[in-house]
Amino acid sequence: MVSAVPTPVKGDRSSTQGAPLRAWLQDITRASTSIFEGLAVTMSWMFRRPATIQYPDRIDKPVQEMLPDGYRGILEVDLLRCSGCMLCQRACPIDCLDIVVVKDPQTKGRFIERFDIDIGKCMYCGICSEACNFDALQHTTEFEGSATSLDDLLLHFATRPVPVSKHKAGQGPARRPQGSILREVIKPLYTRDKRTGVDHLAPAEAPPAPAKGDEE
Amino acid sequence: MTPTEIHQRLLEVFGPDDILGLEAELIDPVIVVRPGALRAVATHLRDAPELAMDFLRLLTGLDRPDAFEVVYHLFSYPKRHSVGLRARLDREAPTVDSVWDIWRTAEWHERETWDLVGITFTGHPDLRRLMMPDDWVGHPLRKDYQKPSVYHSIPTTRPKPSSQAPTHVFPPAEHVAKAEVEGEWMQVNMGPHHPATHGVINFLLETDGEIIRRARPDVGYLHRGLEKLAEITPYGNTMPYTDRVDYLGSMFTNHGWAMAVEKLVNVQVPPRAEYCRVIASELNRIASHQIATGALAMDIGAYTPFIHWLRERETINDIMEIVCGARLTYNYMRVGGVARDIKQPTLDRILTWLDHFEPMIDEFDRLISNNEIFIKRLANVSTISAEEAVSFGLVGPNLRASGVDWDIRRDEPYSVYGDLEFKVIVGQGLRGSVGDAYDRFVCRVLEIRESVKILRQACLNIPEGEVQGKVPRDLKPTANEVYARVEGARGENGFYIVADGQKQPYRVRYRTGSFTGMSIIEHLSPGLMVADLVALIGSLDVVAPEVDR
Ligand code: SF4
Ligand code: SF4
Repeated sequence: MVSAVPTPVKGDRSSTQGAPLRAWLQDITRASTSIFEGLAVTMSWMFRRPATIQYPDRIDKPVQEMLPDGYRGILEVDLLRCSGCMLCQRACPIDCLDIVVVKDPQTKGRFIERFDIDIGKCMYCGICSEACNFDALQHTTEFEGSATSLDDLLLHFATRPVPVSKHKAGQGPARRPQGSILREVIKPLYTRDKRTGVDHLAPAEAPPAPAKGDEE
Repeated sequence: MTPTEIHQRLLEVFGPDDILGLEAELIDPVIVVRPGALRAVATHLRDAPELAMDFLRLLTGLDRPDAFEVVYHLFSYPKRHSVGLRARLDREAPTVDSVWDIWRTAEWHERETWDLVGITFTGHPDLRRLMMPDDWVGHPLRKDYQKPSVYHSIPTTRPKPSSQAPTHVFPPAEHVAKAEVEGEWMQVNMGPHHPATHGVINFLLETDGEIIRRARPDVGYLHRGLEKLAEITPYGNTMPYTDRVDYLGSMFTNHGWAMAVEKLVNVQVPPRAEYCRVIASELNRIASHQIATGALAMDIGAYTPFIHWLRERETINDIMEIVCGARLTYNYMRVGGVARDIKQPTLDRILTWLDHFEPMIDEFDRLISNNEIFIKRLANVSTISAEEAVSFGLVGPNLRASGVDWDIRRDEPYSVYGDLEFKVIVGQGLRGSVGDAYDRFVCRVLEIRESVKILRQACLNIPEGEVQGKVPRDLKPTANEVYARVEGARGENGFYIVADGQKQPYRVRYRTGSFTGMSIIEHLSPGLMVADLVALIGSLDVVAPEVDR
C-alpha cells in the first residue's frame, strides 16, 4: 500500500541517488506498483453504485422538480400580485426588465402594459427578486431556455394590460404555483412524442403579438 | 511598522522634496511621492532591511480630474507591514519611471495600466497592450473615453432583441494561426482554444524542436471590462459581477468585495453571517482545488482522477444550490451579511458529506498523487524559488509551495478565521525541489484536507442569529480609499476601491492570483519541453477570466 501524500518516500529526494541501475530498477518497481494501486481504485468502482444517471430520458422525475426551492432559474412574474412599483427594474444591474405602467385617463386606474424580461441578457443573480416586496417576481426552477432566435428570449408576461395590484405586502391573491406562469409564456422548443419517446422540434408559431403601444 | 513610521523613515532618507506627504485619513494610508524620485524610493523600500517591502500587491492607474495617478500597494513578507505609494502625474503627458526590475510583477501591471489608462512607463522593456487588441484606439479606463460603436464590423452594443435586425457580419479572418520557420526555430500558436490552457489564452511559442525558447502568453480574450463596469454600477449591485472575476472561486471575490465595501461604509457583519461566509468559502475552496488538481492530472494524461473529483464536486454544487441558488456564479454575499442563512439540515448534510469525502481524498492520493509516473513527470519541473515567487507576486498555494509561509487567513485573520484551527501548508520539496510543479500540486491536495477541518469546526460552532447586518439603504460612502484582501483559492484576492462620495465607485481594481501567475510563465519557459509547459500552466492553476477580468 502506497502511503498518502504527506509522508515523503525515504531516500528518494532525487532518482540519481545510489547506483544508477539500482535507482532505475527502483523507479520501475515503484511505477508499476503505484499503477496497479491506481488501477485497483478504478476497478473497485465497478462494483459501486454509479454516480451518473442518463439524462433526460432515464430519470424518475423532471430535474426541475428535483432542484431545491431557492434555485435561481428563469424568472417569472405573477402580474396579479405585482404593484407596478418598478423596484425590480431599478435594482437590476443590467437592465433586463422592461416595465411600462400606464394610467387610464378615464378611471385613473393604473395598468401594467408591458412586463418584458430579457432572459438572453439576465445573469440570474436574484437581485431583482430580492427587491420585490410582493413576492411577484420570483425565480423558478426552469432552466431549459434554448430558443431558435434571440427574439424568443424576450419573454412578454403582459399580453394585455393588467391592473396593478393594490394589496399590501404579504396579502393579495395566493401566488400561483411556481413555474406555471412561465410555462404559459415560454414555448417548449421540443415536444416529445409520447409513443416513440423521441423529441421533435416544436412547430414554429407566430411570435406572440407585442404588447400594444409602440414606444421603444 | 505603521504607515506613519514608514513615512517618517522615508522623510529622513529622502527629505520633503521627494516625499510629498502622507494621506493618513484614508482607510489604507498612502504616501505621496514625487514621480521623479519614485524609482529611488521604491528601491529603498525594497532593499532597506527595516522596510523590506518585497511584494508589490497591486499597481493601479487612476484618472483624476486634475492629474493621473499611479498607486502602488506594497507589502513586506518579512516585516508584515503594508503601505500605499502614490505618484501624481501630469495630465497632458502622464509618464513615470518603470519599476519592473524592482518588482518583476510590475511588468504586466504596467502593461495593463498603459493599455487601459494610458500612462507611459519609461524604461519598461515591452510596453505593449495587454488586454485590448493591438489595433485598439484609446485607453478604455480613462474617464473621457468614448467607445467606438463598431470594432471590425462587430457592434459593441446590443440593442433589445425585438428591435434588432439580423445583420451580423463576421470579421475578416486576420488572426490565422501561423507556424513560420525562421532559421533554426519555429513560431507556433498554442491556443486560443487549447484544452490545456484552461480557458481562452494564446501562447506564442518559439520552439526549437520540442524545446521552448520562449513562451509568450497573449491574454485579454476574456477581458470583459469588469473594472469599468464596477464604475457605473452601484456598490451593492456589483456583487454579481464579482462572481465573474473568477468563476471557479466566486465566493472569494464576493467576500473580498463585501469586505471592501463594509470597510468603506463601516458596517458590522453578524457572527452567524461570518460563519456562513467561511463555510461557503471553504466549500468553494475545495471545489476549486479539485478542478485545479484534477485538471492538472488530466492535462498531462491522467483522465480518471479528474472524473473522480468531479463526482465529489457534484455534491458541493448541490449544497451550493441549496445555500445560494446557483452552482457556479453564487452571488451569495451581500454588503453586511449573506443573502440566505445556511439552515441546520444543510449543515448536517455538509457534515455527512465530509465524512464521506475524507476517504475519497485518500482514494485520490492512491489514484494519482502517489503515482510514480505522475510524480516523475512533475518533480523538478519549473521550480520557482521563494525570491522569484515573491518578486513576481505569486500568491496563495503557488507562493506557499515555494516555501513562503504566508496565509492571509492565519496571518491577517479576517472574518472568523482567527477562531478556527488549521495548518498552513508550505512546500517541502517532497519528491524534488521546493517550489516545483509537484509541490504546487501537493499543496492543493493538502489544503483540501485543511478545508475539511475548517468546515467541520465551522459547521459545529456556528452561532444562532441574524445573517444580515444593518446597512444603509443607499450605499454612499464618503471619499476614501480602501484595499481589502481575502485568501482565495488562487491566492490573494484584493479589492482596491476609490470612493468619491457617489453611489458608484470612482475606480475599482481587482487583484487576482491568476494575473500574476500568468506573468511568470514567460520567465520560466526558456528551456522547457512543450509538454512540460502544459504541466507548468496546470500547476499554476491559472484561470483565464481571472487573468483578464
Ligand atoms: S436576475 Fe439579475 S440580471 Fe436577471 S433580471 Fe433579475 S436583477 Fe436583472
Ligand atoms: S415585480 Fe415586484 S418589484 Fe417589480 S414592479 Fe412588480 S411588485 Fe414591483
